[in-house]
Amino acid sequence: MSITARFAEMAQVRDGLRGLEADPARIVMERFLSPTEAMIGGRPTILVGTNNYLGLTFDPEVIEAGCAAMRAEGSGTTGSRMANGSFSSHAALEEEFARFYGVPSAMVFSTGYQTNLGLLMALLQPGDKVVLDSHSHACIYDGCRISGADFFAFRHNDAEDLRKRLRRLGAAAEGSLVIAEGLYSMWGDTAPLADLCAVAKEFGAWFMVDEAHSFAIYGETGRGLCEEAGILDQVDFITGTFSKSLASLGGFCVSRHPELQLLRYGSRPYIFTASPSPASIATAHAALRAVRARPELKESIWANARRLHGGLEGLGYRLASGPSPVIAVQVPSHEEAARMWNALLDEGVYVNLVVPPAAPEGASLLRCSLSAGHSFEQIDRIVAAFERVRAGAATAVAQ
Amino acid sequence: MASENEIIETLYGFLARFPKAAGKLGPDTKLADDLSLDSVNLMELLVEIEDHYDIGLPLNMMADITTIRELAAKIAELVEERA
Repeated sequence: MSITARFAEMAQVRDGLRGLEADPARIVMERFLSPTEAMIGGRPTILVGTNNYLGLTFDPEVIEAGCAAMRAEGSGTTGSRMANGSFSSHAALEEEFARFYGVPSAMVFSTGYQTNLGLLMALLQPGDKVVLDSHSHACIYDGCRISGADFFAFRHNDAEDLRKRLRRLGAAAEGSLVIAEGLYSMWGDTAPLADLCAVAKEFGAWFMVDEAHSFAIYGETGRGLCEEAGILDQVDFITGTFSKSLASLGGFCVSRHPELQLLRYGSRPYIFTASPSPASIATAHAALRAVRARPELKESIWANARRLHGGLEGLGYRLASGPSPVIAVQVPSHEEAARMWNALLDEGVYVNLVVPPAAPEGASLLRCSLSAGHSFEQIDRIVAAFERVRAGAATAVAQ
Repeated sequence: MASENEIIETLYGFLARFPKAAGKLGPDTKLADDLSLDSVNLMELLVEIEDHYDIGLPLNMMADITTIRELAAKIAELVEERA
């Protein structure tokens, strides 16, 4: 067996997508016209699959913050904070997150993926027990797997199923870790966090929530679904990313436990990688200020989400969940999903094509992610494109 | 207590719904290579098995399990521990 055996597996995935004539790897955004529109294949295309929830990637204040940081601190940090030292901007952003959440501890990481990996690899060790939602993101599974801990899945969003699995752990449930997300990125549904947290606490387990897709979108002040669920004072670790609402690159973890700071000495994805660049930190910081100062951004994305959800529902499409910043259209087969994805591109609309195993439970999805930067006129064009795509289909997906 | 052979028969029932299982199920059938079960399929399968036997099957354990027979042996071990 050669290490090149895996090439064949990966080529099979690529060929499968090419066989459907729907390889997302071939999508190149040649030129941006706005946060929500780019040239793809020489055609102006509405972007409704980029997770640019607040549309801040072209915000003048965010851009200027990044440019100023580059001029003041340079283009890169060229190494890890443990080796090269921290920039004052790293510490300032951590302090801002801690203040925002009213907690003693915050850490920033170089990507959202590394945030969960960094937290889990540092917290857990072989013999520890983790119970996670079955729809959890790959970085959560990967963090658990690399840590060597024993991890078990509970049925998606099912607090009673979580209770059953914690009970099976017996005495080991106490001190175990329960993991959920706020908004699930594929189906666009939200977790019953108050119920899950109550079950975790009943067994003496720790509770971690990944707010990658829900930060800045949920909660009165934008602190995510934990704020909306009223559990900020009970959840032990909250993680999030800069690469969605915060229009940058990186991630954060906040905790009511001051011991979070100890992770700087034991988290390999924190220690052995370059720290976030000055521009990444500065743009995330400026976007965080916008989250706090401009609640109208949150209102806009919700208005757009409701308009798109209502429009697609009105056409008879089967949607995976109620209105949220992620609206997933369920399609009966991956062949049909690929055909529609291509037809939407021809109509000048870019959505995410999700085929098994990327989506849970064998689903094929056309996933839309809304932005505060979308106009109602763009939303209406997206709905019209979905209508034409359906009308032109040999096998309609409408219920 | 269920014997390993009885567990194997029960597993055939769980696996029958997968398209590639038809005519292929035997103790030495490989879950990933022969049945093309991906990580999501495997996770869903384990959750069902856990409920059937009232045991906890860690997902990380699957790295060491290739065949139906090996999975059945692990289940038998966990059932015995629980008893």
